[in-house]
Amino acid sequence: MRHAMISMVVLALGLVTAARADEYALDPAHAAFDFKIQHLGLSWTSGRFNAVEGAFRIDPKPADCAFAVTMQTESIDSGNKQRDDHLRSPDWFNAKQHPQITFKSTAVKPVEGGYEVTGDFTMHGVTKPVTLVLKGGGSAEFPKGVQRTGFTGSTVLKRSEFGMNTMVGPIGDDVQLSVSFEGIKK
Amino acid sequence: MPDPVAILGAMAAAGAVTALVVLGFRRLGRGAAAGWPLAVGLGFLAGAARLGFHPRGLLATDQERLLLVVVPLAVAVEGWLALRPQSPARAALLRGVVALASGPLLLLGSVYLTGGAGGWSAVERILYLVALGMLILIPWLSLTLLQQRRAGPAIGMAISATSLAAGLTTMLSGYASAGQLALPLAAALATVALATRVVPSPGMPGAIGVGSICLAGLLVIGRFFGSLSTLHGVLLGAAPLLCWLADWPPLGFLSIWPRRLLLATLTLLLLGTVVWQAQQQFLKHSGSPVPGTAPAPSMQDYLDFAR
Repeated sequence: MRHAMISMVVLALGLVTAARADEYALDPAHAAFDFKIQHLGLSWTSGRFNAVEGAFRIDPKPADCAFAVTMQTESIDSGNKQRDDHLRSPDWFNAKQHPQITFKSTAVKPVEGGYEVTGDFTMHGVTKPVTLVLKGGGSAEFPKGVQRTGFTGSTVLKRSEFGMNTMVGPIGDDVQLSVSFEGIKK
Repeated sequence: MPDPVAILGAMAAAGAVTALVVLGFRRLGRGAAAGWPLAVGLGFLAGAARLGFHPRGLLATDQERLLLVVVPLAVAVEGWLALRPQSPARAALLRGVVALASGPLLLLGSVYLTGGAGGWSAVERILYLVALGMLILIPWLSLTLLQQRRAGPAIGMAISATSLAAGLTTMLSGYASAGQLALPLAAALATVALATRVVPSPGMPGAIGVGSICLAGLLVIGRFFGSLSTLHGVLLGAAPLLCWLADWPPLGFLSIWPRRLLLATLTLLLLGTVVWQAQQQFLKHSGSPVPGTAPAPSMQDYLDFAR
């Protein structure tokens, strides 16, 4: 009888542990929020936001998972300072007026190998729903004692829908966003 | 990239609208004076519209706040002062109110006023906004005063040339659309300056006032929303003030034409140096990569991975 009780308690504790959501802080050193946009229909110009922060929650119930990311517009880096200065100006991101680009999930669904995440994406002062599939979710311990997980995904945005209309035509309207990030378990 | 054909079209539109308004107001008696500041304001707006300026509201962007709020305010003040001349103190007070309001208006909703990364603290905000108001007001007051004392096209041409240089410098500093706006302003000011040679110009001080605040506004948005350097902004803002040297006693030994030639040379030298320096910086920074700063784990961390 006593053994049965102990077994039940251990099982219950195990279930509680298994059902617990894991909170992660985004690791900026292992996060890439890249964009790619067509130039004159000839080539693709790519860049990234260097200052990124965020957090996410992985729950056994996918609907309770959540993702939130903030990118500092000022940290845009396309590998060319002159172009970056122009990208920060009101002709493009208007970094002084809209210093952050944010994403906050509103719905998460399970898909094979990851999650389909829908959320509010705010850029250039305009908020629109955006959906992307994040694949991954494996785990690793690195460095020792630090638990990590990571995801990778991509989506396409129309910049004109966010009020960013400069030179639509010579510079593509579609912006390919690709994200890849790790989170450190809190 | 700036389109030279579109810019030339905008300059032509600005010049044409300015000339039409000046000519249209010519026969209005006392009202003719109010036509001059209005001509510069409308010419500037016509050029901006020709460049594709389409407002989404009144206050959403820096350019909307400049073109739809600050410029009309300056035109209203100068137009009113042209119609109903006030004492110098009262005129200065009116201009001072608009100049002090221009800083917060132009920076409305930006990190400078709302705080956050790159923004100003409460104390900094007050100090910077007062300084900004003074930097807008001083050229405005002094150039209108100078124009009242000395009629003619020189001051208008000086602000026009400065607008041209400010446009090029702002474009080279990464804010293309604001830089382009300065070129129709240059055309509008050159038109009123040339018009002083053709028709009576009772409202020229008002036109100088509007031109001065338009130029200051463009420099402010170029500096705070683009990457125009403080030094270039200050030098460009101060360049038209060289016109005061014409009245400088040590230059009294020169007759009028050598003195004008000297001043024009000095002004163009200053403006040319600023544009040249901005171009050198543009060339230097085109293609230079920004080094990454992300911290990396140690080699040992990699060697220990998955052990």
